[in-house]
Amino acid sequence: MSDRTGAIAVRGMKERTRRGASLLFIPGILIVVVFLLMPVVLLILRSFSSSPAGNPDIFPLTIDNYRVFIQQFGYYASHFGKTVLLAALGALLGALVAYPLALGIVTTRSRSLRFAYVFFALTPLLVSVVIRSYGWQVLLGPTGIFGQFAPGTNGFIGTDLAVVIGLGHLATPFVLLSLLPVLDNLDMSLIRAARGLGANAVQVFFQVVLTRSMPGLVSGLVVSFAVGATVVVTPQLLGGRTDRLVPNLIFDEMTVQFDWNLAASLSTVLMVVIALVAVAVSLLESWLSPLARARRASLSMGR
Amino acid sequence: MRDYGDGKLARTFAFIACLFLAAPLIAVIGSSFTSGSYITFPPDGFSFAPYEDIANHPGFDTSTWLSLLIALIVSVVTTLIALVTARGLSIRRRAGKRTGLLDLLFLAPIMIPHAVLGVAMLQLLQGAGIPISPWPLVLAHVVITIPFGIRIITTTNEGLDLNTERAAEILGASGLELYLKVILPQLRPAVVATFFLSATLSLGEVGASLFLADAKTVTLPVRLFQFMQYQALPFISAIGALLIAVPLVIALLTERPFGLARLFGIKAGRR
Repeated sequence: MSDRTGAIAVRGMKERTRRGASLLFIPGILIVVVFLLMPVVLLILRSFSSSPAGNPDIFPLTIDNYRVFIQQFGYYASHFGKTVLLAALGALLGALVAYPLALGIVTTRSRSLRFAYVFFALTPLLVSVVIRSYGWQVLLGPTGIFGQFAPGTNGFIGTDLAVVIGLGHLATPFVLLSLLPVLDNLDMSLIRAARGLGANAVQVFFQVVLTRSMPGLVSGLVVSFAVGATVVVTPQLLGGRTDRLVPNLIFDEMTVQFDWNLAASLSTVLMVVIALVAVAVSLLESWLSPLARARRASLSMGR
Repeated sequence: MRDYGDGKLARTFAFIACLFLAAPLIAVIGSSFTSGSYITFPPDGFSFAPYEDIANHPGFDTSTWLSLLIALIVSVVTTLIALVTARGLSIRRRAGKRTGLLDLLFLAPIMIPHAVLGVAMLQLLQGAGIPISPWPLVLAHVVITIPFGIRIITTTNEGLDLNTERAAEILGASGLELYLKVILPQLRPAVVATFFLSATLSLGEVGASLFLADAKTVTLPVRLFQFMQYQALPFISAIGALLIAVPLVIALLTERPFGLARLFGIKAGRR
């Protein structure tokens, strides 16, 4: 709305304001490049290192650290497969929790209800994942309100269900972060139009609200998946001791086995797997999006 | 049709969602008042014994101080960097320039897993021969909290009235004057929200800290995690309950004036 007038005014502004602007990015870029990208690049290099553990030298490079994935393919395939599956289920559970909450925040007319929703949505971000996983441990453990109904002596602790619940709790705020801005910008007149054309509330939800918010929902799912597939604490506290997830294998290699080269190659493969899933999901999303479907339909009609 | 999504069915689902989010927190707080010697929920009787027991476990006090110190430094650094970066982004946007690549760069820390960051930093430190100290933890936490800070401040920035800026420009304010006297005061709530959120995130961070912990750099959540892996005692619930109650009470009291909801990209208190 005021963007155009803004642009005109800025054009008239003193040039120095704009020239100095790029300097403002220096601290942020420096921090992210030096303390995030550089360590990660070195980690990837380390995964190709042939120097023994404990030796800070990285060179010469080799692919030996990756040979183990082929030699013990079955072992690693099952651990990675389980990690992907549980993280995906956790992300879906997170979305299932986040969606009604987001919709409530955006649509409710009651100010106090809205405040309560926002407050509950914020709680997971304000409490450490250690405490939250511990809370689930209490609830699902043998003396917990849910755990006492579980077969066996350990409650639900050690089951995949417990891990998925913990990961779902972890995922919820990340889904909200991507979903809420999209829902907030949703054009309410679309809903009015759909209702006017005779759609009921459920139809409106699936055909208008959900479709329109799909980009935000999908990016939220991808971020939650990435978080869930890499968290150490939650599966360590809620999961089983035998069939462990990849982050826990990495944690063991770093702190117990001290095979840092293997830890580095495991981390690298995990990042690649996450990136592949992310790309696949967003390709699927853009393929299935109504806009793309409409375009394909018009193409097949010979336009 | 304003009430769409606010019907009985929608409210029920939203209520269940709130219950799910609150359940583990209620369990921690509830079990912290148990009078038994092991953790149960619902608790076994009522007592403050678990809270009194905290003092009998050495190490948790030093970890608490370390965590608080790190959180303080992190929130100062993150808030400053977020302010400067958000200002740069808003100048670029208003000049009609693209910010996509920069946005991506500053969002990257959300996409890189904390554990990977911790592993990578530990290997970097070892490679460079730098001994472990609290500083790598500070830097890791700054990296982790920056996207949240930038997001809170940017959301507020976008909502500012451009006319006040223009008026200051016309009256001859320099770039710095304009920022310090006109823009910064309007950003005050966002600054408070950023400060609080980065302190809280740092205080609870465990993914990266776990790998950067040696005998002297065990932060509070890492120590809790290390302890609860082998033993479950009610005093752990007591510490957990404090770590839940303090930030939540602060958030509850400051949400109306300062609005952490900005984090979600929605304008608090609209409508």
